[in-house]
Amino acid sequence: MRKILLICSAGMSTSLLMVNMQKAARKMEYETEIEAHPISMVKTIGAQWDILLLGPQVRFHLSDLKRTFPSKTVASISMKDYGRMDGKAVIEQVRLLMQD
Amino acid sequence: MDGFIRLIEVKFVPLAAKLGAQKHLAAIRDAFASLMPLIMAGAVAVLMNNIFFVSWGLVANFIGAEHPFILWTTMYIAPIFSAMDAGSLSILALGLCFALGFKRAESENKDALSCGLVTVGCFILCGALSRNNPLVASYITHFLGAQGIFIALVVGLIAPEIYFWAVNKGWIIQMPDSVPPAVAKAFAGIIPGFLTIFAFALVYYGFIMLTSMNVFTWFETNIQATLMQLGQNIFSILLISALIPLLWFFGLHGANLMEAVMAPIYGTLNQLNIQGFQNGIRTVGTGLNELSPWVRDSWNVYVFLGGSGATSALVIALLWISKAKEDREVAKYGLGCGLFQVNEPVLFGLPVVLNAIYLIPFVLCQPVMTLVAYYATLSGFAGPIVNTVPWTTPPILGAYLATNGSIGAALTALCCLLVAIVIYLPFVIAANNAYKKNQ
Repeated sequence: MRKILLICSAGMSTSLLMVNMQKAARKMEYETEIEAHPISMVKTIGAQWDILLLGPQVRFHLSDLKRTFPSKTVASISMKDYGRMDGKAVIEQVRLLMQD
Repeated sequence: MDGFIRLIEVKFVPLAAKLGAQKHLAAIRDAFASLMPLIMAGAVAVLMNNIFFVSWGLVANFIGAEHPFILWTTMYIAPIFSAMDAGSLSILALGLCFALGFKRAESENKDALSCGLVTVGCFILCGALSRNNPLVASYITHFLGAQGIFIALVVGLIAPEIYFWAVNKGWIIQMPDSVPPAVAKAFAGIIPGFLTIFAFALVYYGFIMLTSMNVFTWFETNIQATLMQLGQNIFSILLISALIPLLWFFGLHGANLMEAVMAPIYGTLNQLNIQGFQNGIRTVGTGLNELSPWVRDSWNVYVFLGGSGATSALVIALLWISKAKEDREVAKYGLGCGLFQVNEPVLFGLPVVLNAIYLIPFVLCQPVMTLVAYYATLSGFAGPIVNTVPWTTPPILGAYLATNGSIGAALTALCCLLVAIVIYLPFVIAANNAYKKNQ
């Protein structure tokens, strides 16, 4: 079971991606818990998640978040996958990062 | 063109990214974001009253202010929603300085709750509870709301620094291990809290001695008006309008990055407009006791039509002209999201980001739309913004509601959309021709 936190400015566009990722994960029978939240919430709730994924539009927070959560996997989503709201590709990115 | 884009990407983007991640700016942004529940609670209450229940409301305009329904709601319903104001919009500055102290401490790994509370203390002792200004907005008797935003911002940035300084010096009361952690934590804040509040007491004392005014009154008389007028200067507004899509072109959330500037100035003006309107102010202008022509929501309802860069216009132009199947797919998906002002699928999917074809119209259309809407409001064709609507309100409807039912505002938003379509059109045609040639 992987807990995935998606982060963007207001948590709106990542929630679109969240739905697609949940569908893709179910198809792959990869157990996940996924939520989308605004960047302003990350420092408060970030510690409860296995992997933090940033939307490309807020990727400038990447180094700061890596510093705040040194034990977590923090990464940003590629513009291409994000634009297509490609749930499958992002799940694959997660599996690659977590080596599942 | 590609060389130019690469140059900006190397020089400009890291700078923007650095600014975006800067701790104080991030705290300002996050603090304003955390005020959302308060802002929206107050905004919805005002909206309900302004549309349905008061004699100057939208419904009253149609059925007459003397209609029994309006007389009844004015008496029995409107007071409930008016009462909400005192606990929401009227305490924004108080909420802001707490949130700032809290968020700053969070990012420095200090006790956030203590730091937030101490910051509130400093804010209050500067004189937040006593406002008496016969010239500007005399109906407001304290600085806990929009009138106190700037001081809340300054106090919210300085007070935590003093607090951290004392903590980092190690000036904390250490408790033996047998004391429960929660108690020990509270004791740890005692000396830093005392020093911070003492420092602000000195500031308060200094202001009273030197100017016979408290910090708030001094700021209001000497600086606030100038700052607000600078904010209403068309060039400041155009600059922000142009920077947002420019940042977005490089895939950075422009509005999010600019929020640290937009929220204190234009957000404050937004609240002042709402309060002014409720208190019977109707004239538009940049003077005392007038409604500002350009506020935070002006961008949402006139410029970000479908999201930053007015991508609704781009999507419409694409569906009209483009023959490229992939582009049409993105546009169709983008049309739905764009209805609620979400446009990442278009920006990253088409893409607009780092796509040289769309650089010019994407960056140009926002300032042009801003000009149209600014002068439409200043001339009185469109009503001023007097309600807050959620930024996800569909285009045109947003303008109508935010201006409390100004048809001119809805037409202005429509006009802005048409202008943006005209700006995008030649570039969509060019992209389509290039596509046809490749086929």
